[in-house]
Amino acid sequence: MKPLNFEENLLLLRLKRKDPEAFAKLYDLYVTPIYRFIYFKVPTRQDAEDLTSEVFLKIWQYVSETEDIIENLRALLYRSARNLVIDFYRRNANKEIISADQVSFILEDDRQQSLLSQVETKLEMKNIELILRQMKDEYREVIILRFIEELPISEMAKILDKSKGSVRVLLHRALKVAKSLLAKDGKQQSD
Amino acid sequence: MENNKVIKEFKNLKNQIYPRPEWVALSRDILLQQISHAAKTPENFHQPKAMDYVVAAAQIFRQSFFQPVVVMLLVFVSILSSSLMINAAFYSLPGEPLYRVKLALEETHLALTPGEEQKVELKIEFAQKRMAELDKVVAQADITPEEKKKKIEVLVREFKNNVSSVSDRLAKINESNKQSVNAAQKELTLKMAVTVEQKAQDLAKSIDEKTSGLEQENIEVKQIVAEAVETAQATSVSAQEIIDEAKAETEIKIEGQIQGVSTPDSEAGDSAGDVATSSDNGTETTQEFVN
Repeated sequence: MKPLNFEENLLLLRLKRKDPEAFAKLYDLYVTPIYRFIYFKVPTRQDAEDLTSEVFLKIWQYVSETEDIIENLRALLYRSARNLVIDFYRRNANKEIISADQVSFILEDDRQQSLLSQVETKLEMKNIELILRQMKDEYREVIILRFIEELPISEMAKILDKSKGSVRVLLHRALKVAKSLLAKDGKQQSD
Repeated sequence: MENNKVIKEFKNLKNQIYPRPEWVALSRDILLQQISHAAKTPENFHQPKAMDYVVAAAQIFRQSFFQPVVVMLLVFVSILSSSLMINAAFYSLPGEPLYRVKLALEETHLALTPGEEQKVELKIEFAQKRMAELDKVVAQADITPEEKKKKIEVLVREFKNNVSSVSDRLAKINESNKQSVNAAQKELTLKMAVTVEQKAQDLAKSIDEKTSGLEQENIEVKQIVAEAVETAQATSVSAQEIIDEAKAETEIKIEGQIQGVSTPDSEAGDSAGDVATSSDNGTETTQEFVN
């Protein structure tokens, strides 16, 4: 972990000085993880893309202007992404709540995708992804951060603004829910 | 096990979910354009200075100073450097500043050694080391006979001390053993005595040989050497005495055993019975030694 930390700290310093190359490097390093994190939290791919871009812009502004000491750049990115998703839902509170069944059809932009590929997308999407989307956001978050992004519990605690113990409890419960959803799903399929 | 299955499924998602490459490239360009107007003037940004690296390193150092890994590393380094010093001391000879350190280390080693037998063996080892050092000193061609004499004196004195302390320890152990009936203990003492006897003989011989060749040295050294030889021989003798004592004791016991078979009520029989029941092994092994 130490070499990454050193690189990160160097990157941070350059970002503070508004070095565009540093920004490009940050983007290249984190665009996929941040996109992935946001992807499961929002209904459409378009939303995920838009919000991901917003995250990087926000970070760029924040780092260069803030006086605070930033200890962990990666955690900052995830925290920022999380906050932006919350804002997103606040802004779109008027829109109807999307159910899991409808999700697959919305995932690709209707205007750009043919009906056939939409159907293909639904078939392609594995059960596990559907299950993840069905879960409570709290549980989904910890599963994504732990098993998909593979972050340590200490960092997760920073991102989620919770204690390490709470994070562990959440993970435990999330797995339980996932297991039962999987089992239910399996049963449905065999019927 | 089921947990692992679920976790694995989630982990697999990592490879399946990723942004569209065309979007990644496009958004990168757009974002860089958006931020570049803020960094238009060259003074605002520059190549990472050397200072940046130093600051970054210092920040990490500050953050991680008390982490276990760093502490362990520091401990390891300090152990390593002290062990290097110990090694340097190891090869030192009298007259060199590290020699005292070496002796002190030997003392520490002795203090840390558990068990009387090991301590006695260690003392013998030290005496042997003095012999090796003597060889080296004698071989030294680049010092004056005066200096050589001094060094030899120191060595021989140390040697004498080591050897006499061996015999003292052995005597002490023997005394304390006389009270106990513990045959295993006695066996141990006996083993020590045998070892000491042999080794003390060897030491006496070797110091005699080594010093007989020193013609330049004068009477003082010869005297010390003679004392050392005497001490070694005395140690050997006292060890032999212990062995003889044990031998005699065993003979009495054997006789007792034989008598005990026909007269179970006699005192000898009782003590024989005691020995027989407490540890048959001890008696047998003692016999081996004696034989």
